[in-house]
Amino acid sequence: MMRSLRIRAIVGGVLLSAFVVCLGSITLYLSLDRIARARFDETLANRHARLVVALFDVGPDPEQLAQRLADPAYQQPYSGRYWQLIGPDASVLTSPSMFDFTLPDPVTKATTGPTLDFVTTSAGELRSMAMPVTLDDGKVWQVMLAESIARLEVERGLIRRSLGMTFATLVLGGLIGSILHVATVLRPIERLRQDILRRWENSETLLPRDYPSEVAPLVEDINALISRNREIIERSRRQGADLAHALKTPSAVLRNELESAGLSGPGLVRARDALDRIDAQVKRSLARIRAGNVGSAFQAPTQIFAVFKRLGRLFQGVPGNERFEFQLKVDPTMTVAVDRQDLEEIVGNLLDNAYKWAERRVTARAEQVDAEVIIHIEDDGPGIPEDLRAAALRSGERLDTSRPGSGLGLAIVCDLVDAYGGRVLLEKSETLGGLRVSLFLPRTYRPQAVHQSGSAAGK
Amino acid sequence: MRILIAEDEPALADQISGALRSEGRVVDIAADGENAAHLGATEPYDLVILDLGLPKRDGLSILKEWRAQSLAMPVLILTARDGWSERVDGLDAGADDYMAKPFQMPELLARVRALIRRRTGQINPLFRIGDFSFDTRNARAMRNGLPIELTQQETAVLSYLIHNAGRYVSRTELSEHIYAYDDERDSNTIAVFVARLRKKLGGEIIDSARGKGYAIHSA
Repeated sequence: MMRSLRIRAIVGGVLLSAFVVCLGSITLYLSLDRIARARFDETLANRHARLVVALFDVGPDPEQLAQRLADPAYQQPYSGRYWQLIGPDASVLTSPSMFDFTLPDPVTKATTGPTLDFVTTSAGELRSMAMPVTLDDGKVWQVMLAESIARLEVERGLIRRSLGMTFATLVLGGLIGSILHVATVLRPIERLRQDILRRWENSETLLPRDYPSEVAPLVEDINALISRNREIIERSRRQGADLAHALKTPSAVLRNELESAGLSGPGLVRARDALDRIDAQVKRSLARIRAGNVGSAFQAPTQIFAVFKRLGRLFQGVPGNERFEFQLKVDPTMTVAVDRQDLEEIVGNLLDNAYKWAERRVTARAEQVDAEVIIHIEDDGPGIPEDLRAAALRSGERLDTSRPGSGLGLAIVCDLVDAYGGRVLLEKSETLGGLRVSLFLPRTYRPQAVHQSGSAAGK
Repeated sequence: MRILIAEDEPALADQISGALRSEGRVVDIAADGENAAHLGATEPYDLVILDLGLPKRDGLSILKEWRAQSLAMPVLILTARDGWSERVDGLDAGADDYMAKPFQMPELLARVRALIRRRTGQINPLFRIGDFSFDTRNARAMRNGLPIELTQQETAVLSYLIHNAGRYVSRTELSEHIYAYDDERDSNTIAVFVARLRKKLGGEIIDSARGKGYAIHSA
């Protein structure tokens, strides 16, 4: 089953043009061949007529006939042109060119008209013409003229070859024609694809009247689908935001009341701890809800460079972060099939960690490997010991409480990356000595993102 | 220093305003987006604490509108939206700081102070002239290490003058920054507050010039 419209149309076009050209060539060949044979026979008949005239003039005398016909081909053995006379007494006179053979006597089918025949002799295949001629003395001579068909075969070969060339040229022309034709016909579909991507990024609407009438209904369907898709995503995001607001604001109120209630000692610590756990759980759950929405939605490509630029501006703008050197090595055109907000959430959490732990340097770079984009974020901080890396990705528990934060960053990153069918790898940074986080993300949209835990801690 | 809190949760708005008032700030509260947009555009606030998920109008669009109108007061976004994209969007829209809920009140107060100091060009949170000092962190005035008792209005006047130290501030401007929206305003009472302050702090701290207003000159 050919899944490509292009291949289907090209193969169809080539087959059709081959069939048509083939049919035409055969018809043409048959008619040209018939013409060639007729012309050959006509020449044969002309020579035969001259032989008959010569015979009437000089009588059955080979030498005088040769003089009279004045054609050296009759003199030269095996020249391909021969005459033969069979007398009433069955005596046979031949041209000198008939060195050692004679033509069979066609007298059995004696008629008044000429008899045409093919004969095989030691000089090869010949075309012969025979006609009984009554001379002035009343004797009947069988006058025969034969010609090698080699010349005819050459001519027929020429016809075949030139027809073959024409055939090949026409089929090639058909192939090129169908490629151009298909490209023209398919252009609206290709444009549609680009338009869909652009539309997704810029929230535009596709105008069905910009497309051919066959594609227009499809455009309307796509419009409806994109709108629906966007609605679903936006609604779930909004629900997430509403839920966040509904949970976090009371939590903030509670925390403030707790701090100002004048509690002290273990009671305050326990209450604070409980609130911290609630907040962390809310944050993690909201992140999971967000990650859960990923697989169902179409993903337009996101420029990695732009995301790093935006977040880099944010982190470098934080007072105190001026001392860090942030190095970004990403091709500005490189894209990844991850929603921009999700990619910013992933990268934001990783940069947040990097800035939290780095001494002075944070680097980010991206490379393309087959169908994946790998983003590396490295710092020159203390890193994470090998035996704790797996736990850092999975549990969402804080490994070190000496720096502020929920300790959920890596776990949230993991949830999101998993949702896109990617994976996260933690390693020691070879260049900076701290932590290196590598994200493996799909380069192009995969309709069914694999929902499985693909993340692992490396060495 | 007059601060607008745009927050739709009354309990939280009360907590924040209480904490700010204890530092000598004057506070207005807007419980929805429309009200916040109007107050921010018409009243001369020294800082705005802006929630993004406000009823009637989204905080981000309000902020963009203010910035488009060249309103330059510091804005601290305080929101439940804690995504990194939203942080960047908030700062790109013109916010000066971004805090996600739930938050620690002391951190919020510290960031408010830092923003006001940055705005008024003061680096040191402790203001000092001779043996007089004013701590912007808790709005305490001291002389020779002994606290000076001040009323809320007196603190507000002193705090505003100190944050604008080196410049004459008119009575009208003072009254705009020391009274909340619902307060009864009377620029004549400013003279009364200044007179009381001079009595408590000593006459040399607050300078006055006819037609220009009052000023505290930095040491």
